[in-house]
Order: sequence, then structure tokens, then C-alpha cells
Amino acid sequence: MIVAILMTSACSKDNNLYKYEPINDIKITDATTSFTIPQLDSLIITPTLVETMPAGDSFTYSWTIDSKVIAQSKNLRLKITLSPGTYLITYKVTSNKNGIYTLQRYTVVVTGVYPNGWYIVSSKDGKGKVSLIRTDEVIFENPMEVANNKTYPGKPLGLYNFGKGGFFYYFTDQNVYRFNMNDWLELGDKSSILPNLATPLPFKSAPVFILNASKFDQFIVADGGLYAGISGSTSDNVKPFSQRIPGDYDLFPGVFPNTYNLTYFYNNAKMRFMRMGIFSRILEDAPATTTSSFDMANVGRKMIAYDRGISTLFEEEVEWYFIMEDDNGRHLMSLTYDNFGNTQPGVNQQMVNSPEIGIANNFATSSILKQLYYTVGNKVYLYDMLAKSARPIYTFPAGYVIKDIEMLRNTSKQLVIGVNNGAAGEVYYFSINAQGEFSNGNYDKKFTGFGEIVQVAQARQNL
Amino acid sequence: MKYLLYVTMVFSLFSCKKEAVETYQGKDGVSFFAYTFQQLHTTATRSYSFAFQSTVKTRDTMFIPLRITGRLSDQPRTVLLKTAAGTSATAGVDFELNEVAIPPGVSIFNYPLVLINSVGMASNVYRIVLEPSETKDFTLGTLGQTPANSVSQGTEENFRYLKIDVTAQYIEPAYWEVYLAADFGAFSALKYKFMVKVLGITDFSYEQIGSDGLLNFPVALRNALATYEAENGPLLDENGQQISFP
Repeated sequence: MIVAILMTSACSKDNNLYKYEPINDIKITDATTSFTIPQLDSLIITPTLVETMPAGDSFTYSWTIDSKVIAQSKNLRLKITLSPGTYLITYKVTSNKNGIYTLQRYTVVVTGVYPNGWYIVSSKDGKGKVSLIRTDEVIFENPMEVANNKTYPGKPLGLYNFGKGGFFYYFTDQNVYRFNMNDWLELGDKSSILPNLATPLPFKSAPVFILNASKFDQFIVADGGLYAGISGSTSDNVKPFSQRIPGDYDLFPGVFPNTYNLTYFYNNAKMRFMRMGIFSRILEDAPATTTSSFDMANVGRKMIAYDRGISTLFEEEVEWYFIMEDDNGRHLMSLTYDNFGNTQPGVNQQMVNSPEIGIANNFATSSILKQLYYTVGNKVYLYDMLAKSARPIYTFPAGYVIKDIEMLRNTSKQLVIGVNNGAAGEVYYFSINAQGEFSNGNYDKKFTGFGEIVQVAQARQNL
Repeated sequence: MKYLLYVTMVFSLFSCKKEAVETYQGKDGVSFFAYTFQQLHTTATRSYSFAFQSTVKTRDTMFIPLRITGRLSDQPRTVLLKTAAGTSATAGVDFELNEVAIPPGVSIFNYPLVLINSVGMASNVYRIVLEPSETKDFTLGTLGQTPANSVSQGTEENFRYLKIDVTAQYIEPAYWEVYLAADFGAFSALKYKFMVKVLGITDFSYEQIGSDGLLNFPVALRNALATYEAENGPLLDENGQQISFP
């Protein structure tokens, strides 16, 4: 019916008698529309407005996040209390004269207050202290005590990032804690991390922690014993650890996630490798590899140290280097993987032509060059696996003792060294050049004011 | 053009009539309810033992999930279960079935089955086979499977018969073979008693112990067993087999 009525009516001629009046056109001409800012810092945005007819106009301003108005001023100045994440801020400028408005969108990435850098675990008068050297080189002293408004007594033993983000574990000789890595709030202690232990904490020696390669299991080796737990699909649903895995063994403090399924350990009492499959809680002897470069079931050497080599893109397979010792001296050995993701013994070479290697106590391997660094006292040596020889590359002043060295794992281009001058700790950043030596033969950055250094640990990645 | 106009006008005179939507008319139904992953439907058997409880009980209540098919009501309605063929327990001696009022507006609810620790339970395992009974409010509900959707927790089952084994003996819980066998090994009454003693809990169903319990409890049990064996030698079960947690 309507169609019929419409069909009967005709069109009228349009006379095009419009009156054209120019209006004030506003443009926001900022080149920077994305910002990255740590939590609790102030975000300041001062937009540049360009008007075509500035005279006689005034404006109403609004800034919104998720349709919530956060400010109504021309410029934004806001203390960021949002959780870490990415946010869109919409800026709206409305003309009071004619209601016409202009919009501009800004992207804001909020990072944790302490987003990345290096944890420095040190000890002052027998009490532990953890500091963070943030990526921008700002040092935070003991954020855990500031954030939680309490003290954490006890001798510090070690600190390990969870490896899935979220939090880190901090071990002392009295307790073990979980701290949120973004705000350092305490998330739990031994009662929730290691409940129902047959023999209660404390651990006597420094524990180690790492996730398995698939990141579904988590492991602690402490005082020769292995403790395993489910790591949860995210860091929020991490589960408690088991009691000590039963068995007649005495593990070296190291965990070696090698393939998606298998994680290896080293039994220093029987000088052979052991292993555990994903979601298994049986620690078994690694099978013999008699046709390979060495027999995993009968290594016959004592493990001294380890560090990581190369890995596949998603770290489902990881290569590990070991410093092993027998009556003939020290050896470099490795566990690697084949193209099918199976475990394979790698190098097995005696470390000859390497000054002081027999008393070296800190080791760090490169993940891009066949090289490793070791230290004795105040000296740093560079060992070349292909040339099978080492040379000194740096010496700290007399009286300094190197405590820990760590490779920045994702690039293998930075070595971080913690040094003690008596009870005063210092941290040095060295850049590594294409030959594996320190750029300019010297350090890049130096940080002082720590207690006696116990450990240097990367904030966002295991090892 | 004119022809088209007339045809359009003629058609325009006829309008559509609204058709009444047919709604279900009839008595609302009730059936047993379980998620498929719980493996409790149709062929499964639920079990209860007075021996597994942390305290000595003369009566206990087992809650049985039921679901209504049909309209929800703003009035309380009554539900009753009755026994079906295969029942070896005696009503009034080993268990009680009572008419229960379900609250208004509820579609899934728990029916309280009262179990009684009778004399016979000490030496027998009694079976109770239940089905929904006709009441003034309900008949037997629609049966079958409902596919998973974005709201539900997975595929759901409506079913007619539920089998329950009840005793005061140490019988293998229905969940053992499904969840525990791989990590705790074969069931035995003495193994179960040992677990209760070491871990201090009596319900080892997955809902209670979680994924970490499945992996962490056997470690604690192996440690406790090693301590026991060091002092007393092997721990044997009621069949003379050495107890172990693989």
C-alpha cells in the first residue's frame, strides 16, 4: 500500500538554494599517538590543536578509557593506576559554538613498575636483600620490603624467575616466597609453595628452579633432593610442589629441560644422568648411550657447573653445557637434541690450554658462539670450544672477587658480572663483540651500593 | 508500468496473518543429571562406603544431581525417587527415599538420598537402583545428551537409572579406575587405609584432590611407605600382595 502511495507522488525540483558558511575546523596534529609508561608513573599528553577560524570559539574536552571519562582538561596529566596491559585513550574536543567535535585516539602500553632488568641478590649483615636494576638503569633497593611493608629475614640463597611471567621465587635459609614480578607483592611462602614436606625447610644449600621445556612442570633441586610441581596453564594457577621425590640419589643443583617430554638431572653420587618425563613423578636413571660421545648412564665425572646453549624457537628443545671433573682435570660436555627432538650427548672435550680452569668457579656460555666464559678470583677468561683453548680477557682490581656471571640469554651479547669488594657488591655490564670479547676491552656500565653479592638473575627469563 | 502498479496494489491489500507459536503442553519431567566427563551416566555406578568416612556415622546423605525438563516454576514442587529392578538394599533399613521439595525457579538440584549404616553393611555391598517416580508435579523427564555450548561445562547427560553401591566395607570407589589407577596403582582396602592415615583425607576423588593431588600425593605416599618398610618390612594388602604406589 505504501509503495502504491509513493508511486503516485512525483518528485519536486530541487532549487539548490543553500547558504554556505565556513565553520571553525579543528585538527589534532600530534605525531606521537602511542605511549609506553610504567605503572604508577604520570602520563602526560599535551595535544596540539590547529583551528582554521580560531576567533570566537571555545571547547569542551574529554579523555576516556573504555568509555570511562578520566579527565576533562585540554591536556592530560594522569597517574597510571591501571594494570599492565594495552589501553586505548580517546580524546574528544567539542566546539561550544556548534557542537562539532574532533576525535584522536592514543595507545598506551602500561608496563609493570619493574618491567625488566636484573635482580641482584645480596647479603648485608647476614640478611638478604634483593635489588632490581631496571632496563632503564634505575636501581630499586629492596622493593619487596617496600611493597609489603615487612622485612624478609634470613640468609639469601637464590632467586628464580618463574619463566612464564607473573612472579619469581625467592629462597632464603628460613623460607621460600613467591613475589609478583610487577608490583613485588608477596603471593605466598613455604606453606603454599612446598606444603606437607616430610622434612621441613630450611634448605641448607642454594636451590635451583626451572620449568620443564613444555612449561607444564616445575622443578626445584635443593640439598640433593628433587621437588616437582605442576606449573599451571598460567602463572595464576601454579600448583604446590611435591615432597622430595623418593629414591637413592644425590643431585647436583641443576635442572636440565632438554626435550618437550624429558628433563634431566645429574646424580653426583653415582656420576650419571637421571631423568623425569612430563607429569611423571618418577626419577629414573637415564638409559645408556654407549655409542655416543659419552655414556649418560656412566659418565664417571663430577658435575661442577652448567649453563645453557642453543634452543629451538619455542624452547621445546634446549642444549645444555656442563663442566665435569675427574682425575684428569675438567671437561666440557653437553646434552643436545637431534632433528626429531630426541636427547643426544653432544661435545665431550677436555679443557686443555685453559689457565686456572681447575679452580674456576663461575661459568657462562654463549647461545650464538661456541664459547664460554669462566672466572677465577678477579679474572675473566674466554674459552673457545673449537680451538680448545682459553685466554684472559678482563681483570678486576686486586681484592675483587667475582661471585656470579650471567649471559643475557636472548641476545648472548651482554655479560653481567657481580663482584664483591669485601662486603660491598658491584655489578658490571659488559658488551660482547663478534669475537666474543668485551667491546673496547672494558665494561659498559657499573652499579655500586649492593651488599655482598650472592646471585645475579635475569628478571624475565630463566638463565 | 501502470499494470505493475495495479498488480502491486492488489497484492498490497492482502496482508500476512500472525501464526500462534505452539508451546509444549504437558507435565514437567525430571531425570538424573551428570556431565559426560564425570562418567556417572547410565552404565556407571556411584559408590559409598561408611568405612571411608573420617568419623563413624550411623547415617549419611548422598546428594544426587537431578534436572527438570519443562517449565520452571515460581512455586516449590516435590520430587521423589523410587527403586528399580536390580536393587538389593532394603528401603527403610539400608536407605530412605523421601519426597523432597525443590525450591522455586531451580532447574538442576541435588536430591538427598539417606544411607543408613545397617548391620548388613559390614559384610555386604548393597546395590540401589533408582529412577524418578511419578509425583503430582513431575513425570519422567526427557533423556539423552545435550551438546556442550559456550555456557555449559561440557556435554551433559539426562538419564533414567542410577546405580549406587553402598557398604560399610572398604570397596573400590567408582572414581578409582577412572582417575587414580595410573598414579596410585591397583585398589586394595589396606592401601586405602594407608592413604587415609598418611594424607589425612578420606575422599580421593578428582574434584577433591585436583591435578596436583593426583601427582603429589603418590610422592608423599611412596615416601611414607619407604619409612614404614624400613621399620616394618613390606606392607601387604588383604590379598597378600605387597602395597606399592607405582
